[in-house]
Amino acid sequence: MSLLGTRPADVVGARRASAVLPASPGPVSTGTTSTGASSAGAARTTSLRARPGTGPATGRLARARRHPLARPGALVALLVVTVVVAWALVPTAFTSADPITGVPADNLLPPSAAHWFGTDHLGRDLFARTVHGTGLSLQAAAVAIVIALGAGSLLGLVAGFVGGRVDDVLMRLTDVLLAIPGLLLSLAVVTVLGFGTLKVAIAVGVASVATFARVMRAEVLRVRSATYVEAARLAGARRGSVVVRHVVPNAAGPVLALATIELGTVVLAVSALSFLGFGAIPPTPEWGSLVAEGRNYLATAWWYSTLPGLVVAVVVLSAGRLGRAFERGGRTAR
Amino acid sequence: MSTQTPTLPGAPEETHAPDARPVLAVRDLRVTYDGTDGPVEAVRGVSLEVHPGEVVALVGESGSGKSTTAHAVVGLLPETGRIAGGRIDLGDDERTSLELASLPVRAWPRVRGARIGLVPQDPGVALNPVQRVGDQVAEALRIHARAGRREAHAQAVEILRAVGIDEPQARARQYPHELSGGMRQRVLIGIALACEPELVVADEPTSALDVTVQRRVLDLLADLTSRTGTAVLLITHDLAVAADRAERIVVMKDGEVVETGPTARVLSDPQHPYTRELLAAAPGLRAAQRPGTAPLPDERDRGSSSRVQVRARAVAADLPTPPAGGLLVVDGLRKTFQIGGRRSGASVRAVDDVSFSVPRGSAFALVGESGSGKSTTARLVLDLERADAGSVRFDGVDVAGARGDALRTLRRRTQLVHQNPYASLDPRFTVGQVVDEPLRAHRVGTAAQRRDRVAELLDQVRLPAALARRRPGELSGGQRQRVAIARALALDPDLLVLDEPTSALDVSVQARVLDLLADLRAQRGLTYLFISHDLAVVRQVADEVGVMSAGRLVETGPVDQVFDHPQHPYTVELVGAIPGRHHEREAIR
Amino acid sequence: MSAYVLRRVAAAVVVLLAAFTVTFAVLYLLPSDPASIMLDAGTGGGGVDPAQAEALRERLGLDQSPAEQYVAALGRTATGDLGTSISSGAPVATLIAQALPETAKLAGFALLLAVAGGAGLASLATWTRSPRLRGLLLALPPLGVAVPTFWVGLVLLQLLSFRLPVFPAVGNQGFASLVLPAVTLAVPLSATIAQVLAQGMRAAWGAAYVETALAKGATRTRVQLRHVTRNAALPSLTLLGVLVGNLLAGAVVVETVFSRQGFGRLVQAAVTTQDIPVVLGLVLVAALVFVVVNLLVDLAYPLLDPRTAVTSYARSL
Repeated sequence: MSLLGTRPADVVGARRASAVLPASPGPVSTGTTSTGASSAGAARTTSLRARPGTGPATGRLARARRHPLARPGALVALLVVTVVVAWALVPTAFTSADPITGVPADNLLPPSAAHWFGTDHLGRDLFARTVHGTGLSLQAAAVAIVIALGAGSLLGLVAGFVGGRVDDVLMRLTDVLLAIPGLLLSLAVVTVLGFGTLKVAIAVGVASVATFARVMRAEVLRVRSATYVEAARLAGARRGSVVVRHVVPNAAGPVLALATIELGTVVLAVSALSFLGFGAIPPTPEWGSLVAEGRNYLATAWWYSTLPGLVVAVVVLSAGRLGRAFERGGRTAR
Repeated sequence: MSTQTPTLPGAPEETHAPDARPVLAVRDLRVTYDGTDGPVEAVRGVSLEVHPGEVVALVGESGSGKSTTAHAVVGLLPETGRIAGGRIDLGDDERTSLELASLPVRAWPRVRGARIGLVPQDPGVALNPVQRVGDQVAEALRIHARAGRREAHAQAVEILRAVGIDEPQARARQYPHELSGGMRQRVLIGIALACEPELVVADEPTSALDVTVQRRVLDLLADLTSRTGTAVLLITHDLAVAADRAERIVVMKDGEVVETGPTARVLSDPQHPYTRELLAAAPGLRAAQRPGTAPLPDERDRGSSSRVQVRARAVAADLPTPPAGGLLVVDGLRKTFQIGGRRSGASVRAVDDVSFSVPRGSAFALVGESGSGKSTTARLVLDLERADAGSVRFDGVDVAGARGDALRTLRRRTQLVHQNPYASLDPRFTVGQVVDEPLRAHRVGTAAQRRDRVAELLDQVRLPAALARRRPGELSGGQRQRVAIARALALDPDLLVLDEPTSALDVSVQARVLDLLADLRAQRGLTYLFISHDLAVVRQVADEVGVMSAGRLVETGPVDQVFDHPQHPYTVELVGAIPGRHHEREAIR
Repeated sequence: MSAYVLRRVAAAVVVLLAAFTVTFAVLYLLPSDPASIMLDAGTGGGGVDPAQAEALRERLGLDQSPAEQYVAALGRTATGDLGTSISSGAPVATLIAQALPETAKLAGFALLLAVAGGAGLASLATWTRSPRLRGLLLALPPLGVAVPTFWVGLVLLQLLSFRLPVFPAVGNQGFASLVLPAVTLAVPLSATIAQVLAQGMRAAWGAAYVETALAKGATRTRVQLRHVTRNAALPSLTLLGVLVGNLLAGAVVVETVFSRQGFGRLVQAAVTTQDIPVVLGLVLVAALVFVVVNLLVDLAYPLLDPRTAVTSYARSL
């Protein structure tokens, strides 16, 4: 049968997979490209490069140690995300300085023990502004992810499971959404909705719907055609029970891993939009707008835009690291 | 020829004149892999020799270290692997001899291709998909400066001709996907032999090929290497292939050599218990084995397979003669698949006018090579695909007409065991949930009753009840297939469709699963529709056999009759290609 | 072969049409009253004069039914008329035509840097046998996609314009002014390319045909150049459309940071003034660029990958 065209189909599959990549300049979701490639690769590693058989029953502890989340890099990332989430929840526990009103005499002070990130042109503590801005930035990111994950997964599930015309129409729709660069799509939505952090969040979420729909659909199709689903049908399981018991649990893993990876992308997009001036209204602190405010003091106060921006970079990097760990963890569990 | 004295594992065997240097001498080779829990030793002190012009087979099951040994010899261990000790000496001439175990990475390119050739495992993926076939052959010559750019191409065409490819000129300009699997393996043999190396390592060269193609490819390899005097180290899991092709056999288990000796001696007088076990499990060689010579360890689990078989046959014979129609009657079945999209209009007739009948309590096997339509026929029988024409009647009821509850009842009485137990169990379910699923779906009994039933079913497939809480990922392949069988039995079906149920398993595991199937049939009076490409397996389990080729059923009849006196030319070829037959014939002589 | 081309072109037109429809729906049909959004932004939120709004509605055809509006807009767009800007009154097509060349220069240079950097990094990381060098190289792309583009721009400005005055901080004058924006734009892009290519190359290095090539006696360098690169690059080619789209989106941020004139600045200004006709025109142009690039890739693909070549595919059946 291999001669009857599985090869060209493979190529199409690979191209489809790569087209799923998020359209925004975020961390490339390795998950979307690897799901296609890994199945072919996995078969090979077991056959030719025969690894010595490590017994099937190796204790829970050993497995826990081998889990990708247990690597040092992932642990540091987890720590970063935990701290930042704590910033968002209880900012006052981390800084006593006032983020809104500063001491004018202390303006543009470089970083010191008193002001870790220095102060801005109004003498406000930049660390306090960064910590207090976390809540708004993360809220926006969470809203965006919920919209993208919710709408995207639903679309993908329907497209993948109903199939036929419905699938065709929904997938053409995602094609179109993917044809417009994510940031531009968000900007178009912002044009209509107006400015503000929540509106920016909605705009960013809308721009990511297509990515989630694609991945969910691919997962549903993969699981639906899995041999164990056929076995369940033959065992007499009804359609609904197959969806609930087999398809959704097995498809959810990669989609949730994508959500973690996309979290970084979404934080970037939200901060980019607020950097452009469409987000929080001053003096409310927010990551992107903090960096934007520092633009005018580049020559004199290097810390002003550099340090808040660094926080964004570290958070996005950590989210991406965690997402990949989840993804790998999901794959080894399978 | 000291065939009587048992050879100590690891000790080189003196079958050649003491002054003749082997072309390959492996001494106490150790290979370790860096695992997440520290280094794992995959090869533990392996010693073997290959003499000039000799074919030595390295036999073992998956995880035995045979493939690792082969890769160490060609210096292509995966990155996590390294040679931890021992020597690998290449060359039967003192002046050109080379120690490979400590050869620096830089020096390998001059050895590979020129002095050692490799025939890889899966021809489907072993050629660069975006490079022309001729260029890939020519590359081997160009690398070792055996020819200039233009001559290399001409020589490549000659090599393609030599490996038996028609129209080599045209084929040289084609890409790998335009060639069949057998042809691709011929090209790979051509590449391996292009520079006339002293040694060829053939790593399971035909395990991905159909049996008739396998025979032709192995014939070619034997022919070419004997002509050039190239020695062959043949890696195989198939003792029957080794029996046919090798002068000496080296048996490996768990990273160690357990037995070495001339082929005839190893097969007729195996010294190590593991070799005996392998020999007993190899379906193709069971016939060659003298009865009663090989007492099997662990009698309870395995049973003496021949005995079980006799018992199964006897039970089948005891049953009242089947009604004229049989439990399953397939009549004039046809199925055509569109390929390459609806618009291109190309189609393949996967099943073409297939008719057969399976009496209650019997085992009917459909055999054929890949693409013969045997699996599609099974799917049509199960109503997983719609037939274009013809009918499938199960116990007098037309399967295609059944809808709703009637279909569910039919489904309940026919169950399928899939080919790949690694794919047929939901990785998120526990074993208990897997076996429980059909009971739950058909609302059989209370939760407590179902739990008891699951335990009972696991016991019937000889799995410990404690396994019910494990997940498939923690089970071995054989255990998983037992779970799949338990699930299939849960609803007490009449007909079990077995789609290559053992092809993903190692031979010793395969033997045990086949014995289990024979026992279950005897105990429960089951009817089997058995799909397989492996004629040796079919011979062991089936009463009647249907041979399929290109969608048509070319021959049907009792197993012994079809195999001993094949009528159709295709059956003749198929039966002739069963590995182990060479050896059998020689043993009779 | 020509049927294939026609089918591809038709598919591209359909995507473009759908993109127009979706954007039009979002911009004109979603808000209850686009005219007051535009006027509101124009007056700085100081209230809308009803008479003025009415006039604008009439001018934009907003008093017609949605279907009539859509058909009219589609007809105009098909002839290249993208309407006029609310804030400046200039034709949108002219505004975009003026802005595009500067951005094309920037995007072209950035793409060049990104492909060279990304492909170089991926090749080196998969070619080397040193696990340490590989680990170091492969740690870079996740870093590249994690840093905010605007932040990279600002840090570069600080270091190479203010601390060490090597490059000009702002403006469109000469090649020197192009370097920092292009590098900024190339950072996330090269990281994406490196990730995709490295993954493809790692997969290719694990493929059986690489083992065959090594068994022939090929060196690692030869394998990397002759076997791995082409096999890994082919699937990545389909990313080109997404990458070019990302360049346009990235230009919004980069041109703002470096105060350059171009497509991105036009977007930023149009969104700020909620100039809906301009935003629609800009989104359409971005979609057109994406569709054209993808069409070119689709058309070139069969020439580059023998497996999808129509002729040989038919033969293999």
